[in-house]
Parts: sequence; structure tokens; C-alpha cells
Amino acid sequence: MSKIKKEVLYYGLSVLAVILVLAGWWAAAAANENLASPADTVERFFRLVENPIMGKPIYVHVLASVRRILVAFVAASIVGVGLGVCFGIFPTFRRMFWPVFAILRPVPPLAWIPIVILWFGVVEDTSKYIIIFIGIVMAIVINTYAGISETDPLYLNAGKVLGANKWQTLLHITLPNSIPAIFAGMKTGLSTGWMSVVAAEMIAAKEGIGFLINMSMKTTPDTALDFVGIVLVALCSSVVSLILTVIERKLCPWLRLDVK
Amino acid sequence: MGKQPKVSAQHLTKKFGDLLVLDDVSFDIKKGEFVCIVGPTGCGKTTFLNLLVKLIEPTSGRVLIDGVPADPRKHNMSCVFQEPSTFPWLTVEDNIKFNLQIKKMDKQEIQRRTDHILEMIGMTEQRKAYPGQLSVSAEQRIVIGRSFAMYPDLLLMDEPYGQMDIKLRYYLEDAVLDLWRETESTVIFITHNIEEAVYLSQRCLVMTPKPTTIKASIDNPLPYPRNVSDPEFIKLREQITDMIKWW
Repeated sequence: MSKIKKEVLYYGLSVLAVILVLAGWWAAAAANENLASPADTVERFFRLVENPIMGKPIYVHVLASVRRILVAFVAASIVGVGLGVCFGIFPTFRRMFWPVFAILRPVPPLAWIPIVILWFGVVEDTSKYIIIFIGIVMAIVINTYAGISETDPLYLNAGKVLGANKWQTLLHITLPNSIPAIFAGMKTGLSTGWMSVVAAEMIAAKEGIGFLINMSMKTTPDTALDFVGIVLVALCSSVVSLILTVIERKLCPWLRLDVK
Repeated sequence: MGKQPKVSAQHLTKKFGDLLVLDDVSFDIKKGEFVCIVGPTGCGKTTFLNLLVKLIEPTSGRVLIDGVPADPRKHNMSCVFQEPSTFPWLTVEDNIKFNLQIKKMDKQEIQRRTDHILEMIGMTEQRKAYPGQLSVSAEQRIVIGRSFAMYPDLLLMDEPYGQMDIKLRYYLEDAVLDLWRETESTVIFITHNIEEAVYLSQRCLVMTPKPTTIKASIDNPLPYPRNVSDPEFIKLREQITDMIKWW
């Protein structure tokens, strides 16, 4: 089968999968009158555009969530890559702090919500940034550390015999070699980040997609609004992931499949 | 200073646990000399090379380069391993430039040398390709080019042509000889291919099986370029082969 035919087939299968999911959703909605169908969800979306909740247009809610996740993501990336590098290249640092990290790592970011809110308040965005940050940073630390520590000794030995010092080895060998692992950590972290942002906004926010989802549970259940929130989270996270993939492809051209 | 050896291995001994790999190995290599180290597979040739480039420490003894302890960061030396050690995230051109940039050389000089080396290894057209797009033998050509790009005083090569077909091997053997003459480097070339050793070297050090010692140092007075079907060439090749067959 030619490459073009294969591509067409794969796209066709992807579209088929989406259609199957929509059909399943439709069938489930038909069987349960409390569950909104895809058509109800689209209708609710346009109603939301015409009648903003809390006087804020829908894009304000979307942008609030995106802003929160991007700010937390940038901070988590800087701290996560920094910590991962330190764990990878400083044995003393690793021996000292890894046990603390290993104990905190499995704690779900949502478990921190009461403490963070108590500390930074309900209204302030700081508390949300911190919860999302915790959700993202762990995966970046783990993957960066794995990328650094699993650098092929062949490359390290080559650098050594070519006269590279410790910092040159880090900058020119270990870090470039770890970029794919770092991006894998960022993508995993983003997934947890979206979970954290929705949870944080559901508990303490006056705007954001999580706030919209929370509003769907007030008084009478509004599952169409819930689905609007779910679809918005899915779309936003897909766009952010896509941007990340484009950046990764730019930074790692040697990994592209069509290079060969 | 004129008579000071480029490399001096003094009573080198290396043990891995109870396994004695190198047993009191001593020899000198002159500046600009092309020396091949030959011996049966698994006799410790690579261990010896790793000691020279300080990737491992000797159990006892020492290696001096220009009279001081060997250190890749202090000496202008380079190494070609058995496996191609190209950096997959760099293009062919950037792989060649790698150590020149590490040494913070002038940009124009880096470009001049890179162009020259790419031409010598026959990879000018693939300069923008990534190693992952190339064959293993092409990758090894990049590593050889990268090593010569810095015009090293000392170049160590550990069976660099093991994964290449015979035609390419002949081509690269001549390329290495050309680069050696041009850069006036001292070359230590490890191989178990006796014909290759006789074709390339001015002297062969013959190693014993483990625990390894230097069995013999055989001068190779044949003029370059050498002919593998020359009776003198065949005689020398058989002399060295017979020494190894003895064990």
C-alpha cells in the first residue's frame, strides 16, 4: 500500500472513531433523559455565548483557564527541568532530596487544595497556580532526570575524549539528548495540569472552565453545560499539546519520522 | 625534550575484581608515529585504550603523554571507538564541528577545517543530514572526520572499520593515512586484522591473550603506499600472524 493511501486510511479511521464516540454519546443521551446529547451541548454553547454566566463572556472563562495553565506550565517547566538536571548530575543533591521527592510524588495535586487555599486564600489566583504547578512539575522532574541519567555512555565517553568539561558535556550532550524525554514529561504534566486547573476552579474561582463545570451542578443539573466544559477542556488541551508538539519537532528535527 | 616519547605506558596493570586484564604493560610511542596494536579478540586491547583516554583508571602504573599524566582535557587528543559515537541530534557538519567549537576556535577556521574534512571523508553532499539517516559505516566516517578535524597530536582508534565493507575499509585506510601525514598526528590504531595493521603502521605491538602483556614490537619498514600483494608485505603479515597463532 502506498504511503498516501496509508495516510488516507489512517485519517479515515480517526474520523470513524470520532463518529463512533458521538454515536455512543447520542445513544446514551437517548436512553437517559437527564443526559444532554451532542445537539443539546451545541445548543447550550450558543446559549452560553448569548447569556454569559456571571456577566463574563465564554472566552473570558476559557482564557482564564488557559492563562492559569500556561503560567503554571512555564514555572513548572523551569523548576522541573532545573530539579531534574540537578538530580541527574549532582549525586549528593540526589541522595539528599530524592527521598523527599519520592515521598511527595505520589500525592495527588488535589490533596494540596485545602492547605494551599488556607494559605493563599480562595479568591487569589496564586492558590490555583500553585495547585496546577504541583500537578505539572512532578512529571517534568521525573522525565528530565530519566533523560539525563540514561544518556548513552557512548556519547558521554565521546565528549570526554574530545575534551568536553562537565558543563560542556551538560550543555552539548546530556541536555540535547534529554530533550525528547523532557517534552514527554511536559506532555504528561500538561494532562495532570488540566485536571488540576478544572479541580481548582471548581472549588475556588469566579471564572474559568472548571467554574463553568461547577455551575452545571448548581440547582438543577445542567449536563449540557458540563459537556460544554468537557469539550472546551479537550479542545484547549489538544491545542496546547499541538503547540508543544510543533515546538518539539522544531527542536528535535532528528526525531521526525520523515527524516529517513 | 626532543627524544621524549609522545606516549609512555609505564608498568600498566588493570584488574577487574580478580580478573587480571593487563599485566605490567610498558612501552613508548614516538611523536608522529603510526603504531598498530594487534592481538586476539578479547585480549584487552580496548581496556588498554580506555586507560589511555582516562575512561578508566589503572590498578597500578601510569600513562604519560608528553611526559605528563594523560588527560583528554589537557592534551589535544581524540578517539574513535568501535561503535560510531556520532551525536544523533547534530547534523553531519555539526558533528565535525563539535570539538572545534568546544575548543572555542575561530569561526572561519572551524568552517574551513569542516569543509576540508567533509571533502576528505566524501560527505560534502550529506553535510546537512542527520546520522540517523545514514548507514553505520557513514557514521563511522563522520567520527573519523570529527577526530581529525582538531588536528590531534594523538589519535586513538579502536577497530574503527569493524562494521564496514572491504571496499570502504580500503578507502578509509588510505584516508586515515592521508590525514595522518597532513596533521602529523601520533596514531595508535587497535585492530585484530593483521593485514590492516601491516598496511597502516610503522610499528606493530603484538599483545598476548589475558593477562595481556606486550609480546613483541615489530618495526614495519615498508614504504608507503603499500601493496598487499607485495612479497615483503605478505612476509611481514605472516610473521605477525604466526606469532599470534603460536598461542
